[in-house]
Amino acid sequence: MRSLTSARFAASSPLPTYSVPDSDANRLTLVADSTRATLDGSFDIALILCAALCQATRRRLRIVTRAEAADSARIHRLLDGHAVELFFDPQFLHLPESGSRVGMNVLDGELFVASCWRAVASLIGTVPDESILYLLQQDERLRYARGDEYLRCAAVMARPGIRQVVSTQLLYDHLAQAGLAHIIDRGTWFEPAFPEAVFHPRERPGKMRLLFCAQADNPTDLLYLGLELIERALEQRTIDPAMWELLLLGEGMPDVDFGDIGCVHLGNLPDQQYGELLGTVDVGIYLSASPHPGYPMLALAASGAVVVTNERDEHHGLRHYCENIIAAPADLPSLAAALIEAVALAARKTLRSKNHQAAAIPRTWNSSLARVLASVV
Amino acid sequence: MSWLETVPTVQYADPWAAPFGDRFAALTRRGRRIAYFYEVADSTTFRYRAYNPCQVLNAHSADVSASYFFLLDFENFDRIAAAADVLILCRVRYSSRINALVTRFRTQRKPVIYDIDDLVYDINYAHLLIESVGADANTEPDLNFWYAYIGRVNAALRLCEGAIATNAFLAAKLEAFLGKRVKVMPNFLNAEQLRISNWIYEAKALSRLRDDDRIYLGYFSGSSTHQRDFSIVEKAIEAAMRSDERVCLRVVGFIDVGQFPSQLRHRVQHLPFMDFVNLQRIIGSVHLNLVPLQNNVFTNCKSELKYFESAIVGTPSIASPTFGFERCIVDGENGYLAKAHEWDHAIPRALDDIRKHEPIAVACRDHAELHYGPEHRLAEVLAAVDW
Repeated sequence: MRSLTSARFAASSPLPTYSVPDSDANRLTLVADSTRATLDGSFDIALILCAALCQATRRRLRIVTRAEAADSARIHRLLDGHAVELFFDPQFLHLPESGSRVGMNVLDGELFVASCWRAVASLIGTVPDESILYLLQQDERLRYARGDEYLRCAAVMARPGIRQVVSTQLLYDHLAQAGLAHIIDRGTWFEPAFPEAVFHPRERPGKMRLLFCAQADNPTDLLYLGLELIERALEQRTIDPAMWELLLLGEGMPDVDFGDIGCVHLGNLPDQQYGELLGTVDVGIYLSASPHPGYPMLALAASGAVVVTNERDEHHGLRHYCENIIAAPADLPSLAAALIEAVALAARKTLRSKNHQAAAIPRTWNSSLARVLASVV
Repeated sequence: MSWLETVPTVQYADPWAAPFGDRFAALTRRGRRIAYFYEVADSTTFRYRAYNPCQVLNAHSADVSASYFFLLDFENFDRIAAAADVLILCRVRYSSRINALVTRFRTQRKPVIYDIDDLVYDINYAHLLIESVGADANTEPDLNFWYAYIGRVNAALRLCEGAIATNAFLAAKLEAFLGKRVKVMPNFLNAEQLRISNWIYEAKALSRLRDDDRIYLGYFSGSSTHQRDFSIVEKAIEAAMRSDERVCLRVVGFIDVGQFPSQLRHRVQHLPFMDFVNLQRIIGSVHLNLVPLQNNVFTNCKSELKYFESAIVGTPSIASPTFGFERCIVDGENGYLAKAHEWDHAIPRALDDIRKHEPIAVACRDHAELHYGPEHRLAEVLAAVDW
């Protein structure tokens, strides 16, 4: 019986750990599934948070991955792009969910950052709760139907002894009102930064660009609503194929055909190309059932695009990030109207540029993470 | 003709192989006498921690002579104890014979000092050590071997009144652990290495490394415990080979390179473990020496020998920034430092410098000659044996 549940929930089973007396440096360990680029950017943000924490606390960074070995070159590119440095040589450890003959050594006073509930679960019982920082970038319960995973995930999120670091105030407020009131005492939040060096408008000749982002395996990405919106916009000639080109970004995007316009499927882009692409987009569409605004939406706005998205809850708008973000209720007529507005705004280059320059999206991680660093250090 | 062919393979014989009588005579040549003790001669720890210091003392000191002895000299322990003034136990494991030898020295109130080049004396680190070297902490044989090894090193160490370590990092750890005085004696080159290295360097200088169009990256492993270290650079090597078809990899020793994609394997040359003299030829034949290390408490205790063995033949290294390498390499001047996530960037950067004939090869050679030649280490060796 035990082997059955262990196999089913391998990623959340306790990590094999052992203690060592001390080391040449304090350490911070990030536990993640993998270091791959994903549209939701969850590893990227976790890495930057950890690197900043390491800088502030003079710790060595160790990255423990479960699904596959870390891609150290990608880590270098990410840190470089976000102008975050590691003072100490980092360590990498691949601990497969089963069959690993090595364990994870643990130092006294070591800090652990878990980038998802499964990683938190794998640490519970093997390291002290107070040494764990749970980086919440999503109400992870929304990933599941109400079943085994949902219950396990909810239990981890509600665990009182663990500190939470929440990406965006929007998500923090949502969680505090959605059964996780303890987050007010134990948690803190930050607004993610989008460095100017990567995320900025880029001039290019040719047609206007419409980009739709969604990841098929992310259950909160509203993939099909987005595809319907594009179809509607083409039918209504909001998007004129003679003037626009259409790009679809995200892994697992269905192979759809929109007739005249012809669309380019980009899949998941390498990091450098991601920033370059966003800087050339005139209108971006990102729709999500998550209370989190979504990194693609913020990255698009930071790169100078007009963004159409859906409203997240009745209390919060999204225009406080940038006036180029147009949010509408998550139904086709409302979103179609928002897209008409977005197309018009995209053509008004001066206003669009003014909105972009006035955006309240943080540009440096130092300022963005100041509150978190103060509360953790 | 390749310059390598102008430096023919040396007919190698262990230079330390000598009968007891010769070694004993070397000990008694001068007034103050240092006896080094190692279990069985080898070309790693024994060479650096016993053979090389003996060679320096005997060649350059006016009043100190030294020699090395082994367990096989058991029947002559009394003679050694009577003749020598100081006994230095080099990384030996406890045994009744070791205890007997130490007792003879202590009875005569002669100092017995322990020399060590690795963090292998504290069982609190045994599990970490087992995993760092790629052994399996879940199996009885590996656990028994390593716990016994560390326990016996510890027991022998405890018999001594002080210690000598390879670097200040290890010395500080050891001093805190032992509560006794610990001195530092760094590793350095011996005369045999220096002789062939000078020959190689001159041949390279004449040919200016233009023997063919290929660019060789080198990885040299003296033991079977470096697979996890090598894995730090595997992907970066692969990327460098993909981006420039002239880039090849030359590997010596106990490393599995079977993970390389089949389309690149014809550019990977794997040579067997070889003696330390002829190894210099192969190190000299590569353009860049790669020295990745998992950066942890063990590797910070290790010496920078992979840097200076390579630098002395004019081959720059890219190394992990462990305690030893950070102190001898000035990044971009006499070599390169690369953190574990920087190798993809560091290898192309160094290859660019090589293509532009940057003077880094000369800088590392000059640095090694100045700091790691045997005659430059006499003062440190003398200080280390002065108890």
